[in-house]
Amino acid sequence: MARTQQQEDTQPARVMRIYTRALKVPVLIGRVPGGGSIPLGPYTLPQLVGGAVTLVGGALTLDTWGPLGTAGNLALLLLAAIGVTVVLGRIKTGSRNPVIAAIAAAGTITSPTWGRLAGRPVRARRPTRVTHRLLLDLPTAPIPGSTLTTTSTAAPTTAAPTLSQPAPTVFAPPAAAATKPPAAPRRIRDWAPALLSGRAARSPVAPAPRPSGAPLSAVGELLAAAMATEGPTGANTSSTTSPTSRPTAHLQTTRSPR
Amino acid sequence: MTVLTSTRRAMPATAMTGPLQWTRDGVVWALWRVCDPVRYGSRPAKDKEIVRALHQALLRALDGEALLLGVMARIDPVTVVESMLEGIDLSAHRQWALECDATLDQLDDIALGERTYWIAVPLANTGGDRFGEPLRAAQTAIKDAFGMPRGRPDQDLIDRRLQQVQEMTSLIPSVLGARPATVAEQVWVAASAQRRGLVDLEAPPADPATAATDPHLASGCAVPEAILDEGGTSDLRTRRAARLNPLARVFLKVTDLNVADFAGSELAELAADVDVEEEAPASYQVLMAISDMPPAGMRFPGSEYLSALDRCGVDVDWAVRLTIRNRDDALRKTRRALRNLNDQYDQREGSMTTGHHELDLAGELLTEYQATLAQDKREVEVQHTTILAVGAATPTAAKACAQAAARVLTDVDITVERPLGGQEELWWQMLPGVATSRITRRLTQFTTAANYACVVPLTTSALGDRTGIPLALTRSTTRPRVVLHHLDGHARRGVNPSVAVCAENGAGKTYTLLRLAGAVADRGGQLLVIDRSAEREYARFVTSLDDHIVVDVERPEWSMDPLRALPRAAASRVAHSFITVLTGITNRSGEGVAVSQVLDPAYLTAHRLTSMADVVDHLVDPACLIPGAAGVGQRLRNFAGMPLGAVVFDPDLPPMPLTHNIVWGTYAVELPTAEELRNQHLFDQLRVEKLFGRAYYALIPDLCRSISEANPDRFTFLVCDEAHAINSSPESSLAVTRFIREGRRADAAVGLGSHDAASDFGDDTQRGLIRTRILLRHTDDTLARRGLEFAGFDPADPEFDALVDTLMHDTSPMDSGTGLVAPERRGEGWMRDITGAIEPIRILPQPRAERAAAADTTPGAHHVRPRQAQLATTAAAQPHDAPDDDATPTPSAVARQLQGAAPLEVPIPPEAASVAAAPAWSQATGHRRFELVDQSGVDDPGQDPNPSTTTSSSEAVAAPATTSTRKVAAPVKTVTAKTPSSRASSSRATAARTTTAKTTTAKTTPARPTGSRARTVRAATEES
Repeated sequence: MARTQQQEDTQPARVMRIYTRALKVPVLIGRVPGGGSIPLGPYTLPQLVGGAVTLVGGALTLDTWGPLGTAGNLALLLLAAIGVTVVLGRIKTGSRNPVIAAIAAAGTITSPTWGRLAGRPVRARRPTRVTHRLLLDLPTAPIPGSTLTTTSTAAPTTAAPTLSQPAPTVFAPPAAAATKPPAAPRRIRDWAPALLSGRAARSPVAPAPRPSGAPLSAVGELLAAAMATEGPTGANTSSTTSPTSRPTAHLQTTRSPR
Repeated sequence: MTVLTSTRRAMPATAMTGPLQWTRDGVVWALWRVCDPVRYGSRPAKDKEIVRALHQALLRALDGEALLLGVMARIDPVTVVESMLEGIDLSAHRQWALECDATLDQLDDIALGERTYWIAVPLANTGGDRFGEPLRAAQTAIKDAFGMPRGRPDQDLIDRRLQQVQEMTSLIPSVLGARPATVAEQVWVAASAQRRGLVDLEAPPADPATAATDPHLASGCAVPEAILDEGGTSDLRTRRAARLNPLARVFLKVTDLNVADFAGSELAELAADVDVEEEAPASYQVLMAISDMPPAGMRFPGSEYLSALDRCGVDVDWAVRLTIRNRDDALRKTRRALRNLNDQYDQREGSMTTGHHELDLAGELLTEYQATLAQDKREVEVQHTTILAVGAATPTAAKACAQAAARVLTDVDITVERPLGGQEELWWQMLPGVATSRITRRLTQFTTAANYACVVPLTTSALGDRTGIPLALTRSTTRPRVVLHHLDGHARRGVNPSVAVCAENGAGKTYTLLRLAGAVADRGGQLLVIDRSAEREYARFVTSLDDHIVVDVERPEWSMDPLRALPRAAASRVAHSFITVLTGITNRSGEGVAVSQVLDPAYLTAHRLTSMADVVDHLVDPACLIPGAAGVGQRLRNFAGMPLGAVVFDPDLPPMPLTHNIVWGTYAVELPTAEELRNQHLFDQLRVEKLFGRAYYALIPDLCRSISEANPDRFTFLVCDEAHAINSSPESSLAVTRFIREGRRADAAVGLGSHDAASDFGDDTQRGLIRTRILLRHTDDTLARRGLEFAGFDPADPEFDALVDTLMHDTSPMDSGTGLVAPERRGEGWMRDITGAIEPIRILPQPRAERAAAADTTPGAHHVRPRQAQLATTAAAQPHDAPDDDATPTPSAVARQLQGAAPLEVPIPPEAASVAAAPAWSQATGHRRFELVDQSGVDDPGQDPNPSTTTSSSEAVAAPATTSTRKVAAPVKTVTAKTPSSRASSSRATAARTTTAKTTTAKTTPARPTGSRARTVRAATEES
C-alpha cells in the first residue's frame, strides 16, 4: 500500500501545508449592520464589547461616580471607553480572547492554596482526635499467631481493663496534613496502620508502614487477629468512627469523595 | 466562569479492562501501544516518503477523535544487559559474563531512554450504548457519592467493546506493531504524567508475550490521583504578595502522593535535593501548545518537528489531539470559510492599509485546500492540537526545560504558546479518557492527512537488533539508545552477517572491529584476524581473550603448515593451492602434475610425509622418481630457506590449533602491486618476498575457510582490517569474496575495515552483499561522499552536502592543537543496520579497563604512564579479572615475545583510565534531569561545581528547515547534570572499584530491583 502511494506521489519536493489561516480568519468588525462604517475601525469583537460595556455601564452608573458636570462626565466616559478599546486591541494574548485570558489569569491568583485533588480544593483541616469505645469479647481459646496464647487465663483480666478505658488517640492525618505539620501533639500507636489502612483510600496521605522489626502492641495484636479471623470470636466494637469494623479490602475499593 | 470550572476534574477512569477505560463522561476509551515505531533516522528521502505514506494511511484509518501520545521512558541498563545475555550459556562463557557485568556499570552513567507511543481513541457509543453508557457513568457517580462499591461492567459489554477494539486494530497499519494496551500500561501512562521530570520511569515491557493476561480493574485506587496546583500557589503560602504576579508562575505543580511507593530509594535522594519542607516531592510541569504554523509550509523531509523535540536536550512528552473529519464535512467548512472571508474583505474595506495581505493569504490557502480535497476523494481533514509537556523538580528547571523545548519549534517558525491559567486544562488534555475541551478546540490546526503525515510522529531512532553485542550508542536523540548487534545470529536468521567499516586513518576502524571481535570471542565464536599493522594491534588485543595464538611471519611461534594443521583431505587441497601460487607452476605442466601426485593423500600416507618440510625434502630426494619433482622441490627449498618461510616450512614449530582465536601477523609480508600483477614483464621480475607474500595471503583465507567449514556449529568471524591489501591480490580477494558470499551457510562472517568505500571492499556484488555498514570520520571530500553513498545515503538528496560537511568537520573532530579526538567524541559515525535503517552512532568503548587498554591503538598510548601507577590502576579497576591471564592456555613463548614487542603490563592510556573511573564520554549524552545554564556561564546556585559533569550536548543535528531556505541547527546549550542519583551511582561505582569484588556486589545489587539474569552475572563474577 505504502509503495503504491509513493509511486503516486513522486513529486520533486513535498511541502507540508497547514490551512488554519484559511479557515480561522480573525473576525474584525468595520461596519454596522446597516452598512455604515465604524470610525477608526475595524475592531475586534472584544474591543467592541469592551468599549460598549464601558460606555453603557458607565452611563448607567453615572450618578454614583461622576465627579464632574454632565458634559465633563460624558467626556470622561468617552475617554474611558476609547481607552478600554485601545487597550483591548493592544493586549497580546496569543490565540486567546483577552477576556478569557484575564479570567484564566485571575483563576491562577485565586486558586486554592493547597491545589486541587480530584477537582476539589484541598483544605488544610485541623488535626482531629478520634476516640473509640471498644468492648472486646475476648475468646478463651488461644488466638492463632498471638504472643498472648501462653497467658490464656490471664488474658481477659489483663486486657479488659485496658480496653474499657478510652481508646488511645489515633492521629488520622487529614488531606493536607502531609503538607502542614500538625499543631496538636500526636501519638501514633504501632497498631494505627491496621486502622488507617481503611482510610488510605480516602486520605491522600499514605500512612507510614510499620517498621518491619517493631512488634505489635498487645491490643493491636488482638485487634489484628480479630479482624483477620472475622469469625464468631470477632471483636464486638463500638466506636465513634465506624471504619474499624469494615473489611480493609472493601474500603480500598470504594473511593468515597470527601 | 466556565473556563475555570472546565478544568476541575478527577481522573477520568472508573473501570479498566485490557485496553478499555470506562470514564466518568460515559465514553469508553481504548488505548493502543505502538510497539514497532518506524525506523526513520537518516534514511534516504525515498524511504522517508514511504514512512510518510504509512502515517497517511494511519490517519485515514482513524475516524473521529483520537489522541496520539509520545511519552519518554527510561531504558534500564539491566534490560540492555538481559538482551546481551539472551541465548548465551553463562557457565560456558565466563568472559561474556564479565563483559556484561562491566557493561552494566558502563551504562549506569548514561541516561538511556526511548519514546513510547500510544494511540487512544474514544469508542463510538452505538445502539443502546448511546443511552446506556451515560447512564452507567451516572450510576457510578452516585455509587461513588454514597461510598458504595463499584460494579464491574458486564461481560457482554466488555466483549462488545473488545470487538470494537479488534476492528480498530485491523485498520491500523500492521507495520507499526500497534497492539491493544494492558491495564498496567494504561496506569503507567496516567502515572507518568504525574511524575514527569521527577521519577524516571521505565515503560512496561512491550513484548506481547509478557503482556498477555490482564486483570480487570474496577477500582480507581490503582490509578494515582494527584494534587494539581496551577502556578504553585501552595509554595507561596508565606509570600502572599507573590501570588499577585501570575505571569511568573506559568506552570503546574503536580504532587503525586503515591510517588513514594514507586520511587523507592530514588525518592530519598530527590527529597534531599528538592528543598521542600516535609512535603512530598512535586513535579513542576510546563505545558505548551502549538498555536500557529508557518504559513508557507514546511518542506518534507524536514518537517518532522515532533522528532526534533527528541534532540532538544531535555525530555519532552507530547500529545496530539486529533479529530479526523471526512472530505464532505471539510468541503462544507471551506464554503463557510469563504463566506467569512468575503465578509471580512467587506468589514475591513475602510481601514488604512496597502492591501489585505492577511486575507489574500487566507484566500490562497483556501483555494489550495479546496483543490486538494477535490483532487483526492479519499482525503480527510485532520484537525490537530499539539500539546507539549516538560517536567522538573523545581519551577526554575521546568521553565528552562520549556524554553529549550520551545526553541526547537520557534526556530522553524512554529509558534508555541504557554497559556497562563490554562496549564491544568492542557495537562488534562494529554490524558486518554479526557474529552476534548475548549482550549484544544481553540488551538486546533487544520490540514489534510497527506500533509499532516509529513510530521511522521511515530518514528524511532532505534538501530540494530533486539539482542546481541552492545556496539554503539545512537547520537540523534537527547537520550541515547544502545545499538545491539547480533553479529553471531544473523547467519541463522538468513541474513548476510558481514560487516564493513569505512573510515580514514585514526578515525576508529580498528576500535570498532576490536569491539566486535572481542565480543564474538567472548560469546563463544571463533575469531580469525589478518593483522597488517606494524604495531600488531590485534596481536596485542587477543592476549586479553581466552584461547588465542598469534602466527607471526617475522617471529614465528606457530606453524601454519597446512599438512600439519588441517585434516588430511583439506590439507592436500590447501597445500596444493599454496604451492601452485608460490612457485607459479601451472597444473597442466609436468611440475604441476608432480606436485599433485605428491600431495595426493594416499601418496602422503604411503611415504609418511606429514609436513611441508617433508614434502620439500621428498621432492628433492633423488629417490623420488616423479618427473619434474626435483625442479619444484628446489624452488620450494629456496622459499623454505627464507626467514619468512619458516612459518610454513619449519618442522620444529608447533602446528597451530584450529579451535583457538587466531591472529596472522602480516606486517612483514610484501605483496605485488596491481601494476606488477597486470604486466607480465614486471611480474617476472618480482622479488621472492613478494612472491611468498602473495602465496601467504592466498593461504590465509584458505585456512580460514577450512577452519570455518570444520566447525559449522560455531560462528567464525574473520577480521580483515586494511581490506584494500586483501583485495589487491586476486587470490586473497577471491577467498574473501567466497567467505562473504557463502559464509552465511557455514555461519561465518567477515569484518572488513578500509578507507575507500568505492574500491576497497571488492566489486559491486561483494559490497552489495554486506548488509551492516559503519562509516566513521573522513576529512577528504571525495572519500566522504563515497563513504556516505556506501552507507546508504542518496547523493541526490538535498541534505547530502550537509551530511558530507558533518562527516568531514563534525564527526569525531580532532583538536586543532593536539590533533587528538576528545574522549567523549571518539568513534562517532553512521551505521546502517541489516534492516537498512541509518542512524548517527558513537561506538561504545570497551567496558573493561584491561580490554580498553589492549584495544587502544593510538600510537604512543602504551607508554604514557609510569609502570607502577598503571599496574595499580589495572588492579583496582578489575580486581576479579586478575587471575584471568594465567587461565588462558597461551604458550609462554608467545607471551614473552609479545611482551617484548609491546609491554602488556603498561597498557592504561589516560582515556581508558578515565573510562574506568568516571566515563567522561558518557556525560555528553546527559543525565536524568537537566538544568540549563547559559553558555556565558551564569552562576547558578544549584549548579554542580564539578567541572567534569559539564559538557556540551550540542549534536548539531540538522533541524527541520522551512521552505524559505532557512536552515537552522539544533540549539546549542550547555547542560549541567544535577542528578543526585547519577552522582551517587558514579561515586558508588568508583568506590566499588577500589574495594574487593565481593564488596562491589554487596553494594550494587540492592540498587537493581529487576533483572534476575543480570544478577546471576553478578553472582557468577563474584564467584570467580
